[in-house]
Amino acid sequence: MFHRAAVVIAAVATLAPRLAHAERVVTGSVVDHATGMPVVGALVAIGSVDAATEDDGTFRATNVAGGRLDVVVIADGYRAYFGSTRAGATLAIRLEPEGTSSEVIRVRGRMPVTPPMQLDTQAIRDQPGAGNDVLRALQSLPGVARTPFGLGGLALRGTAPRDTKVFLDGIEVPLLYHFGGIASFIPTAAIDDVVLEPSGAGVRYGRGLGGVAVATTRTGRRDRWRVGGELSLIHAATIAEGPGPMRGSWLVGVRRSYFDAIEEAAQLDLALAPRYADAQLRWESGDGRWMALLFGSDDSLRFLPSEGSSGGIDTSNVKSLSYASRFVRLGARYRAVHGATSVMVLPSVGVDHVDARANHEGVDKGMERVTVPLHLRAEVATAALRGTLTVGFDGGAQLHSYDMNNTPPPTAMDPSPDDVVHRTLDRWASDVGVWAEQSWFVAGDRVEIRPGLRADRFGLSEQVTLDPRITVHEVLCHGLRLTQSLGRYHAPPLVTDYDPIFGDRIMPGSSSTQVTAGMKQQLGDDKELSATVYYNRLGELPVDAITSATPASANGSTESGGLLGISRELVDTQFGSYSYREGIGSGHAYGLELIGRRTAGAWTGWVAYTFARSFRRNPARGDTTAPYVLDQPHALTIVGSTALGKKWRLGGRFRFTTGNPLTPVAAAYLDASGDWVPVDGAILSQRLPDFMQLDVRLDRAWRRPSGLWKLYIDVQNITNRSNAEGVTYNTDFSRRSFTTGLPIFPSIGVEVIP
Amino acid sequence: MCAAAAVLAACGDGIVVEPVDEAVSGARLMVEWVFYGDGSRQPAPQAFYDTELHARCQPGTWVDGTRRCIPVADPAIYTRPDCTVPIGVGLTNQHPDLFIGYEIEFGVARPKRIYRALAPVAQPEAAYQLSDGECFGVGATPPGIPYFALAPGFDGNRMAVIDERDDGADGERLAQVVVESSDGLRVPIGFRDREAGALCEPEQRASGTVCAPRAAPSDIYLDPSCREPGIALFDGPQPSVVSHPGPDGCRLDYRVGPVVEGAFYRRNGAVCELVPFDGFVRGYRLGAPVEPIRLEREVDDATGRRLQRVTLASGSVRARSDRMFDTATRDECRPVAFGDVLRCLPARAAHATYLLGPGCGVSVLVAEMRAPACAPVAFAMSSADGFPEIRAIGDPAGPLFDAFGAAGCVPHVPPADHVVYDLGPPIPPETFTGGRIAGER
Repeated sequence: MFHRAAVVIAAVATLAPRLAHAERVVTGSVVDHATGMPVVGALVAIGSVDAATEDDGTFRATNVAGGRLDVVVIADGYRAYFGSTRAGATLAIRLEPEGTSSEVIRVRGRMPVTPPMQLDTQAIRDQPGAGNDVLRALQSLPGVARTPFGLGGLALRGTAPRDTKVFLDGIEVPLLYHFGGIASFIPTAAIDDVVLEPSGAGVRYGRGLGGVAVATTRTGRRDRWRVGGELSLIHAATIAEGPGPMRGSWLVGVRRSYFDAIEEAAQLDLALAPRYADAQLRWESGDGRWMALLFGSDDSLRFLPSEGSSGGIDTSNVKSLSYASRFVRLGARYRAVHGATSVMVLPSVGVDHVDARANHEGVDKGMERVTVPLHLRAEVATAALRGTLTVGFDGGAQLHSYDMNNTPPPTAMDPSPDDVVHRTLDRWASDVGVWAEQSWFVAGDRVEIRPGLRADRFGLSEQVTLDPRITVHEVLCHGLRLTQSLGRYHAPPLVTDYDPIFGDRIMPGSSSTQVTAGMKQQLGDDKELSATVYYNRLGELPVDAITSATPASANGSTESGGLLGISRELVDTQFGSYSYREGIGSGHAYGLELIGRRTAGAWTGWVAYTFARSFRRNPARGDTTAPYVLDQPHALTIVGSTALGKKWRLGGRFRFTTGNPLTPVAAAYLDASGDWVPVDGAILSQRLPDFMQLDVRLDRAWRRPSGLWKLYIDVQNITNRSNAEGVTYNTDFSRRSFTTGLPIFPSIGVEVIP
Repeated sequence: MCAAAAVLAACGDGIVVEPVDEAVSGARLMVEWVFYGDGSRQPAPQAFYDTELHARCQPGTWVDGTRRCIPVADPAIYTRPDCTVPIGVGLTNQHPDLFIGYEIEFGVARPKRIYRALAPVAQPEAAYQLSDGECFGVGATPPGIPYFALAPGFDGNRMAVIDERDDGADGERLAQVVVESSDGLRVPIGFRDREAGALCEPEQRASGTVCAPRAAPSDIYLDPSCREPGIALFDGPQPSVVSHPGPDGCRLDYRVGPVVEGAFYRRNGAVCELVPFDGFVRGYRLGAPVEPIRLEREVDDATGRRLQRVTLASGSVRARSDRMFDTATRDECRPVAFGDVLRCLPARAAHATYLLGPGCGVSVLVAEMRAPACAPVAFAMSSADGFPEIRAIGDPAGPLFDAFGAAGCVPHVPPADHVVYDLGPPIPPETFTGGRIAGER
């Protein structure tokens, strides 16, 4: 048991105040993890403020400080609970009896005052279909488009996956998910906090058109060394934490999949053999001032030649294929609080390496791409102008290097390239951003006004952008909270749009204007309703500018839609150079998100409905506006779980989304070589059948001296419904069939939480 | 709010959009379309795509007399004198899938069997053909083309039966001619003037758009001064409508009148001369005038497209024209083949002809047209290297000449009311919207 005073002191020391004044209330409930019964009389420390739970397990901490707050809960017979939160949050905390542990994970639609969603660690871990992965669980949230086969990628509020920026402790992550979206780049056990802002993000983060996902790693416990892990059908992971220098702590994790080994050993007749691994090493000083983080991810994929097609894609001409994608990041953070001023400095360095090789029609093709980012993030927050002023620097330089041996994409000068061309690129480019944000609380702290301005210079496009943004929060009567935001966003071009084959060019970055308005109503202590409307206008989007030689309906262009088009959206930033693009596209997206959630009681979970439309216009395709490839007008997600006695827990997730758009083959003709060539129908004018899937998960827990042992059985698509994810055609395009998604897919694993 | 919604709903109910009779594919036979580069398209009803045989097919008469959609394929011949071993002749297709075996009946080749192509084989020494139930040698096979062994093949029952009929409301003069098949294919291919008893074609005239009946031109005069026009016909089917220029030189249509006995005449320049017809030809007077059916014409306004579809309507018939409206030339166009590519060339084009310059040393391409024209014409068409060549019509030309043997180089005298116009340089084909025929899927 930790001493109360020490805990509170430690919590106060790690504060980074962000709000000068706030409504400053944190509420919530504390229950027994296994039984769900309220824990009465628990001490809840929110930063420097203490509160005690009532008879029904609820607590209310008032006048808490702004910014990230450490949370400590202490109750007799239970392990101490460590987590973090922000003012305005409502927490649902489950305490483990002595000998077990728990952490808090929060997933939010907006921060900090009115987060529409907060999920604790257990809710994430128990979420059916999420595969024990917090970042995969984000895909069940409203505003997040569903990707085929769970391929991953966060496409938020009508924007592309590449428009979403993901950060781990402030360090940008180049690839959120391992290949195929099976798992994210970091295991849940290493994460303390995830904040998802689907749109309307503040000026702290830039160079993205969509939302921002910010994950925070967990501080390892330093009383003694502990080891936990996970063993499942697809991967094994271990995580250890213990005392470190400067009275600090270590957190070490490593994970590797073995699907490739199983596939090889069992001699399964599958075309692709994926493998992934990731590792994390984190140290934080005891006073929270210093933190160092090293993390990396390694994906590789081998293609095992077979006849015909794979996943609906014609692979008959592919003799071999190998793909490897790796990245590593090393960062060090210093932060300190002096009176009303806080300082944070975070330098980081990394290496990204993508190596793809293939033998296509007897010709060796390939690409090796190395990116070395050197980055510095720094910010200072202080009381000024009768509020809180925060200024920051967010920039650095990147070495872009690639070596490519491939048939170049069609260009205006060569609309039908046939020959494999070798080209190389080595280029330094610096992207530098500075920002300032002011926060005022008015009307008796019931209204927060947070204007900001961000300026960026994009090195590749030699472009300077100015992004003003403003967010307003209001706390009204009866627990009703409103939020409005308006902002301008810019993203730089991709380096692959500067392929030497395209000659000297300046490709502008793209832009968006985002407007959101939301309301959230707390109903009692355990229920909440929220609604958000948004509108995004997108400009200068990169679109395929040379289209005449390549039918969209069959060649996998973005506008083909279905599986091929979406796949291109997902891997665009890694490969690029699929096509000659110009920043002449535009688009708009709008939607309504409704969430009803119950956070405590016999059943917990949420019902989320999203009406969302997203459109794109490519002038090279004519003067028409077509749906975006991930335009899914209707999405319904129902997530629920309940305890079955003291040891068992049962949960389910049902998802419905409108089928993705696709470009039909309108007709076909024989070319001179005797091959059938499709003729495009109206671009993205048809849709795949609607998607429906039911996932079920069953958990069983055992408490042992070594920690909490959990067995989970997670069955995705338990009804074995054949969901169409793409289309394939016969030789003369007279017959169309669907590529179906994941069949019934059981996942069984054992997890040890020390 | 509710009242407003009701008003809006009522407004919506009040909007009536006339359905347009458009080509519709069947479950098996698919319509072929011309897909233009600007995104527009129009049916190409000459052929369809058979999704069971995986082949293009065209309406034709099978050997049993049934109208079927017969695959577009090269012919099969026989290599033995007993006509038992067929072989495919790759006349036009280097990658053939099907071949057609024919039998000649009374001099007409009728398709009798469809064969699937196997491997290429050597050129056979001789070719044989079935004719009226017997096997005849037809000489040596042509060299330099591929020949293919054939699988046993199948007969006409595997092909879709098609029907061509008139479709229109009872009592209405205009009917639409449609091709249909039992699998649901329905393709309008033209119009029929029921009253005139003839197919008719949309035509833009100074007075508006009409469906001009297909007519035979009057080719004789019934009097020695060439004032009363008539038509000379052989025995056999007679045309229903005869056309003859009116006083203004523009076309007028007439029914075929009664038979006329006696001599017939024709104009040769300014001379009216006797026509030495034999006894197989009969002369007919022109009957009652035929007024063409007036059509309502409507041009689509599809955003961003150079070519627009044209809708024609009369009575209950409302159908698409076989021509597109080219917004660049402000004139109608129709697809013309340039190798593998089609281009929508002006539908109304004068014929370009060569005259000679002064001294008859240089040929000059000109257009000789009636003035004033019955309908405005902006382009003239000629042919170069087997491809159409389009030129813009310019100003009236200066003096031009004809070379007449012993008469030498004499000034060219246009017919009465005709003017010779200069032509501009050839317009690059790429100027006109390109397209390609492809079968619907």
